[in-house]
Amino acid sequence: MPCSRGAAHPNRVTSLRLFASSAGYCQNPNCLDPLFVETGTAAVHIAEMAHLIAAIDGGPRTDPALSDEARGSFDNLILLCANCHTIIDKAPDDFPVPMLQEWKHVHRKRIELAFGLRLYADRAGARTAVEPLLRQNLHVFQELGPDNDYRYNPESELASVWRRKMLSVILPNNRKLLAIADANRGHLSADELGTIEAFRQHVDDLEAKHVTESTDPASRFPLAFNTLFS
Amino acid sequence: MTIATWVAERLKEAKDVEDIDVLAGNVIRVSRLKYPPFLAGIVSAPRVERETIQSLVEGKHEIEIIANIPKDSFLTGNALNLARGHEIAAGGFGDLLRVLTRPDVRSFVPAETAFIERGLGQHRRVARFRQLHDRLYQIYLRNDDQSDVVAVMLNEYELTAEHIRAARDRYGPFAIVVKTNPNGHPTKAAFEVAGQLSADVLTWGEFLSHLNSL
Repeated sequence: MPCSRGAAHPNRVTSLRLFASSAGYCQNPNCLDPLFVETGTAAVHIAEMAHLIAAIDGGPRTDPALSDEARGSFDNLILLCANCHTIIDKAPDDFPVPMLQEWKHVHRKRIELAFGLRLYADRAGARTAVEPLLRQNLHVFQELGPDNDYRYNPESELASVWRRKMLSVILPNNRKLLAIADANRGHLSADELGTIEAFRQHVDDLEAKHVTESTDPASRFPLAFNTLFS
Repeated sequence: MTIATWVAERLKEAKDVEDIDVLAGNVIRVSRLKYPPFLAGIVSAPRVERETIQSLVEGKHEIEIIANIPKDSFLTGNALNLARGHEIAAGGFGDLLRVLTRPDVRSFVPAETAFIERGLGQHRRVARFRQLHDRLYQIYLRNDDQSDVVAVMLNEYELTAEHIRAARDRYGPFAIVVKTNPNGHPTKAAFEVAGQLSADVLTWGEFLSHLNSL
């Protein structure tokens, strides 16, 4: 259940991203209860999207200067079980915004560690991690991407193969690439840090297009990302 | 550098090409590794009218294909009819690359056109159709009214409002926008603009179903 029913309610993409970032567990590091529970005859979720800064003026950790859009943004939300949500909102002074931000950060780090993401000793090490993923994505794009000639056949079955590979190969690889890049930022130049941000937006746009079927235009893959850590 | 010279330089890089000779008047001879050579007429115009290609089509060279080089150009119905009447294929630079591996260049039809016309030709409600311009079709229906509908075929991956408006500027009115690209979706704004222009936006499959209801 969302925290607010008002204008600061997160949109569908933000909700999806929040659930994905929780990996299905309460983001309170002292709780970590699973948010999806099988009761025997049903599967229920107890996840609640809680606002760091209140959705409504006067609410927990209020800031009247914050826009509605910012209140409903991913950065202002945390996914908690019902108990933790209730507790942090009933005693907001004990759970200030920086603490909740740290909870999200720690939660993300736990997930990255679970995937075996690591800080590499040097650029060459990070490059060995990203190169296979880039190569795999490039191969799928070259063989099945929308620039191929099958685009002239309105009935081509390759379009559905492309969609499947996008969901099963490219999007998951993109998330791994972003995680490796973020974990190894210390090895990157200022230009490369900019490239990561362009790639992050590209990843976000692609997920909106292919997961939530947004019809908004998507930014193109930043070609400089191909040589990251080279 | 003339446009024919530019095309010749690009084509020489293709693996199926033995040599390219630039002849007078924007005609090139393409010598191929596997098939006999052919002559191509090269033009460069945003809008190709009958007059644009007349001298090439009716000139002394036996050209087999006319290629218009600018990417977002269009071939008017008059130009297409002139080429067709002389059994000369017509297309863009990409089509010139495609015919390199075809034994019969004259009979080449761009893939998208071929799919569209086969689909229309096989549809039980379509009595006949006419290609008004490269992407604009007038479709005559088998019904009591013997009515017709004008549809524009757009291959954009992300079909936007701007694409719809540009098509309207280029082709004039149409009742249906058909998205022929099997990937991507029209944007919300594309649907809104089409509605303002009294046109529906349909995928190819939706279009074929729609013809059944007319």
